[in-house]
Amino acid sequence: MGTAGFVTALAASLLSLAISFIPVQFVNILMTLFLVFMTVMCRLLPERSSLKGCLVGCAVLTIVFRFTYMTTLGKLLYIVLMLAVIVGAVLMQKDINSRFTGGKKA
Amino acid sequence: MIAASILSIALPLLAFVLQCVLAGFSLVCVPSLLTLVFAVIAFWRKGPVLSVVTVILSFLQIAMLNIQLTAILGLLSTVAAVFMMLSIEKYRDDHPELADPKAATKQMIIGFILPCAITLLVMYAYPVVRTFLMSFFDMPNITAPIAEWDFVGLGKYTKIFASQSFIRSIQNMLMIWIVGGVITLALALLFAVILTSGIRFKKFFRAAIYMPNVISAVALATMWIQYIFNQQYGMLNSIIKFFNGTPINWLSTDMKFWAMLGSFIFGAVGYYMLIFISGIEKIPADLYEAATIDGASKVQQAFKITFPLLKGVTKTNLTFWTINTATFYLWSKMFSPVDTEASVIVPVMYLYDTAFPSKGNMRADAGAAAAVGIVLAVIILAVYLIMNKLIKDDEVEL
Repeated sequence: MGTAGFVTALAASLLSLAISFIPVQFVNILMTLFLVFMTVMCRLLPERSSLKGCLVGCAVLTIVFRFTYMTTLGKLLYIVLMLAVIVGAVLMQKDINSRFTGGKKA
Repeated sequence: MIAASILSIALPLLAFVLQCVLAGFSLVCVPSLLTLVFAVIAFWRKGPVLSVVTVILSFLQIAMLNIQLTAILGLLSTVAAVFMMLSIEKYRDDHPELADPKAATKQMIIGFILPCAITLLVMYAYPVVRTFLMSFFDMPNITAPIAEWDFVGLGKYTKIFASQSFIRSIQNMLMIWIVGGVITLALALLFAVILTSGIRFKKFFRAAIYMPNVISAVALATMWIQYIFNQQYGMLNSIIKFFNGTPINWLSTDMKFWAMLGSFIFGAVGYYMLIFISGIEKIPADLYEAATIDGASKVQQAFKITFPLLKGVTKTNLTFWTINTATFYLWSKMFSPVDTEASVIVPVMYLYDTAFPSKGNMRADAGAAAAVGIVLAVIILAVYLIMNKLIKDDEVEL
């Protein structure tokens, strides 16, 4: 589940990074670069739940702040990708939780 | 930790200073300032929640700073904030004696409440305070900086109370409040009592009466003006003609106010009815059963049980009605779309015309408009306080 979460979040943040180059939108590039960085950090330090919290917070902020600047298709794509990042972060956290509780609900 | 903390404090500071120097201070600088403050507090208190807030705030910097150099600084400060967050967590792990569940909970509460509180302060408290201050000043336009304001004391208040239009708007508002209020609340209560008395198709009738609230008020007003009040083809005049009567010009100066009030009441009844229904459904069925055994009729039950136990709900409805009346604008605008007519003018319309006059020879007076806003707020507050004093909640005790 952890790997699936990481792959989902990384694929979504890389895709959003790619989108931010068509056309080149400087702030989008910086924001999505940070999301890629955070996704990788979440993988490197899986026991730090605050990283996943930050990733979710930043993905939500990305939706909110990029919303007014894009075309309808761009907005939809961003929403889908950021939701995928959030789902990825949740899956990674669930994986860690299940390791601590032995797969049972606490 | 120290290096990461110094960077997460220094970088937003640098971004803030550069942004201010290159583009002047504006709203875009605020996230950098907040990041700076939170980074200092997070480092000082070694708070993990505060450090998470710092990361999210510094991410906000990237979104808002509008110069490429400062945006890059924003990204770097966000990365630094992440490392500060991780090092604070590590520090906490290494010093378990610091773990204080009460303090952690407190930090968590503050961390979650703060973004909401800041938004509330910026979006709500600031306009209220600014409007209050504006009502004592004269200014060239509504967005003029404070340096251009001239203090006039209560001059704006005396100006609006000397205006015939304002007095007429207050009179109209009072008419809507009293006449409209009595009819709307009486109808709403009547429908609520009928619908909770066990009639068939209750859900259908409830939905039908509430339906006008779902439709946009603009569409509703247009429908009334075009299909009901139209002098030639309107429904009302068609009925009058059917009975060989003389058609009435419903939208003439004399009739316009009542036409507007009638259509407004039609749209409002459903909303108040729902609130009354929820109040009636809270009254225990035992009371009605006992009354039925004692031989009380449905009407007697309504007067002796339902109405007395609805005091609290009535107070809520009266408050909503007062706010609805004080902020009444759209219907008035729809019934006099081009030029504001005295017959349908209301305070908010007067306020709008004063702040943004449509006639070229009129000067915009934002101070007087703010004074109207303050007078309206005082009226609502006074009505609320009086109602609180007069109507005591009579909650059902089980």
